[in-house]
Amino acid sequence: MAALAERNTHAEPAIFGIPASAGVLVQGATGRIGARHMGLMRAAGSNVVGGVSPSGRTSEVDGVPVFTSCAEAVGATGARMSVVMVPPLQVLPAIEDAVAAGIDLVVSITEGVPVADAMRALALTKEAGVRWVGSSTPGIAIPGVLKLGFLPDATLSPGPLGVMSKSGTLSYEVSWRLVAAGLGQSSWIGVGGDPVKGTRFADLLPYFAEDPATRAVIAVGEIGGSEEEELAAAIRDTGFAKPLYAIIAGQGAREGISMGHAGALIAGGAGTLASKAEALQAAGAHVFFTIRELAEAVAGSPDLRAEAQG
Amino acid sequence: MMLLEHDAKGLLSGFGIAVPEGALVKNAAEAAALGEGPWIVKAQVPVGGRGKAGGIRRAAGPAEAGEAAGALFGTRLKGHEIRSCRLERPAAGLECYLSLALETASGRVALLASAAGGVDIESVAGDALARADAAYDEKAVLTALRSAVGALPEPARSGILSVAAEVVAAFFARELTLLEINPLFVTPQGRAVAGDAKIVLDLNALPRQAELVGLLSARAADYREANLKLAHGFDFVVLDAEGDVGLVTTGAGLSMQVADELTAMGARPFNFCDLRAGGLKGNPERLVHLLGWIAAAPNVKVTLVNIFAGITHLGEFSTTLLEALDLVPDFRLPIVARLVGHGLEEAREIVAASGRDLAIETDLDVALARTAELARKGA
Repeated sequence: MAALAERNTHAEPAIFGIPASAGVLVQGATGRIGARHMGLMRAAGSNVVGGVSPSGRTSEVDGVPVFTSCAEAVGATGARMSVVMVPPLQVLPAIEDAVAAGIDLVVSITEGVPVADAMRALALTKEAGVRWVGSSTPGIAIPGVLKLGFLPDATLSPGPLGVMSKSGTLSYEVSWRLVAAGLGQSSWIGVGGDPVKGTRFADLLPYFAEDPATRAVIAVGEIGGSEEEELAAAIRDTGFAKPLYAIIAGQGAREGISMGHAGALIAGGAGTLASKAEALQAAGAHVFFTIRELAEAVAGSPDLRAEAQG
Repeated sequence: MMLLEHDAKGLLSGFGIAVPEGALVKNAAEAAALGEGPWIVKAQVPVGGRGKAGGIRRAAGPAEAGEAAGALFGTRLKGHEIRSCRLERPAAGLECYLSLALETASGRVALLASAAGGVDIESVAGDALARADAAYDEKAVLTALRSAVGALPEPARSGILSVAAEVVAAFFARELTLLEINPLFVTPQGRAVAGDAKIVLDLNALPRQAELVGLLSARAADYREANLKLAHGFDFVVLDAEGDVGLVTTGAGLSMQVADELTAMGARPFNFCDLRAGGLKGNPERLVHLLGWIAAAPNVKVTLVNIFAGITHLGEFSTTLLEALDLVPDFRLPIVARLVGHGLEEAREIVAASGRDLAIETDLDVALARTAELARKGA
């Protein structure tokens, strides 16, 4: 609980430079998933000020006003963040709507977004200077302060660990064990399991480097793509000084077949577990292949032990 | 997901790109019946480096074609069973190279063309290689490709330019993530023929790619995983047909991790699956399919269920699992059920009331060890 207390007394918590208390929109608020998680996000501290549903058939959900566009919602509420909870083929239009309305941070949770749409959303958000996290992410959180997405509350607890994850479920398991050992999270950013995404592992290093509440980083990776290799290069290039612990899943994956996540694909010998582990180890990261070994190493590290016992 | 070469060439051909005359065969007799040689017999498996791995053979005549195909069928190449071969007329010409690939990190399209293709493009250097990148936009990519190829020597330049528009059109129209032609044979007159084709599809684009859905569903056995996903809405991959542990797991990363840790303990996971338990909504259908496939596997001794319920309610999941078990009477394997999270106590009561011999374990390490032990003992 020390990290939370420190935040409250020193500086207002922020996520990617945006105050965590800023207004949040839920795009798709009238859907089954949107309505349910809007309530859970509010309970986790998020300042949800509006829902967005282009159909215009519903004017409020649980006391939260529902607007027909982000522009209308931003005009009425001043929201700066948005969570996109709509079906796969509607994600690109929803992101376009958010960007056009001047939203600063968009988190899209939907799994199954076509890569072509993700390429277009990436170009659009980059050009507009909008931070996009996702798609196919369980979300992001500053435990006790803010939750954007559906990270399970049982795995969230304030603490010293910055978590970055490509896999939702594996990161739940890892964080749950570490919370049981007394080590919660400073910030948890799920980047998602898609090949083309708004925010990648390496993009998060400056954020965790500057965040005073983060004393070590946990990277939950998997086979496919090159994010772990990019992260290794960024650790070296930026002189990232905090300890980084990684776990990588997919030793038994078959080449040429996507393993659940669209991005978990070994193609032409690239994206293998060995390549990722070697790159991270060479950059000074601690790499593990079982959850137990990772959790024991983190909980037993001299830098974090006092916190784990407290 | 990677297309088999035969289908990748069919796709290119549909966009007006020439490919060598060829046919797909399912056994040695079909290969021998295709007529006078010469033929090149090519194993159809979705991996690169088939030639180096022994999956491509030359045959002078029908008998040799039958023999070559017979030697390939049923064997495994880089973990994939060879179920079909493409027999193809040898093509000739200068071996060039052309590829379009999504650069996932930058969000741009990477273009690579070379007057010296063949097996190892990585070793090509200098003047023989043209590189460029462009925004994800058909016109921008074609412009960048034409400009980059302009620097190559003839006849590579003319040959690659002759198919540039068609290749770019195929890449965008079918929402491909990789399109590589290596070698692209170019005759002295500048005519281009795709000697090989490596195409990676985006399965997420299938809801708006009816032609690709048709292609995949017509070849159910060759694209088993993609078809299962299309038909049932979840991922299932056979990791080891002779495996001894069936897995009923959810979440891609954790499911891979569970398989990895069991393997490290000496067990042999039969399958990977990402059940997407949150999408079951009380319907046992996915579980019925999954339990049926596991029950039909020859060597599976035990099944591990692993659900970390952040959002899913374990009471609801347990009810659905028990319903599914009732619907699959052939499933008689012991189950280690590792359940943790939301609704655990209700799940315990539901399982106890069912009278099924189904032990709930909350610690993953204990569940993994118990599963590996049951697999070893052959329960």
